[in-house]
Amino acid sequence: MAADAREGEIVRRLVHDLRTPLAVVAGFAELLDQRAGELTDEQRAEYVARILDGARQMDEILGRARAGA
Amino acid sequence: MSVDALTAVRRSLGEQLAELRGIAVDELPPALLNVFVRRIALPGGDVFLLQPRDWEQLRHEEGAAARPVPYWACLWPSGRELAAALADDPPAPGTRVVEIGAGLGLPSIVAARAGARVLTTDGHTDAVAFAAHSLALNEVEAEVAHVDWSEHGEALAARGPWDLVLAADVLYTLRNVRAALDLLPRLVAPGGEIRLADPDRAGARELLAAARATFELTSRRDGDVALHRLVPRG
Repeated sequence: MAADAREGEIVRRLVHDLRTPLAVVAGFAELLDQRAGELTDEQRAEYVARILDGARQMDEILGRARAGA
Repeated sequence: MSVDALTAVRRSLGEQLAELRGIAVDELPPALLNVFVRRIALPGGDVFLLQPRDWEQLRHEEGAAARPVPYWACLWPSGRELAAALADDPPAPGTRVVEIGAGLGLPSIVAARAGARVLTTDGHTDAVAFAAHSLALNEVEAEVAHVDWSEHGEALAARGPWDLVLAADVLYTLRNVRAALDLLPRLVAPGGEIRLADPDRAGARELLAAARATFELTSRRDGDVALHRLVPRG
């Protein structure tokens, strides 16, 4: 029971922590997917950089969760 | 089932919306989760908003469920002009800011981007969930809270006062005007200010006429929107 509760707590925290980079990755992927024709080269490069940084943040969060599991 | 880039965000958003409404995700109106990312060009850089794609369809679905018109789900000119004014003249880092009736939260995002400590509020829980996701999308931090003036006005005032109070096009009902007359003076700190954007609604004229007794008022106009700055008299 205690393990279940702890797992539940971790999952809730993960959902919370992942929400920010997830929104960034998904949001800028959407802009690249749907608005590519309207974007300048500079904007495209910026959005790709934001996606890569968001993916790196999610990897770090998952790494910390694995280390603490 | 098709998967697009926003599938995961839609899931996260749907969970928050349903939890705040106290219903299951599959009971939400479909138009609420048909979302897109909008880019708003402002001085200091673009801001990105997550918002429902088809406002008319959302209004239709909410109407059929006897729920209020989802005014929060549009970016109205007043919100855009207030955000632009803030982007031109941003609050100093650390400034305590509250936005009331924030809707999609554009002015709050601009204030938070400048380093202000922002509380974003709206009377509709759906707006709160969307604003939270847009803050995340812009990688800025702010608190978000569901605040209905008539129910939570005292609780909000107790959390203040704030150096800067933001409100865009919130005076569209007589009830809102009365609540604002009672609440706004209690939200702003001595030496602080209220920035109010309004498309010349009768309610705003009534509020400003009453506020002149206790506030220094300066106003300017950008197109159809008037921007008012109210500073408490010392």
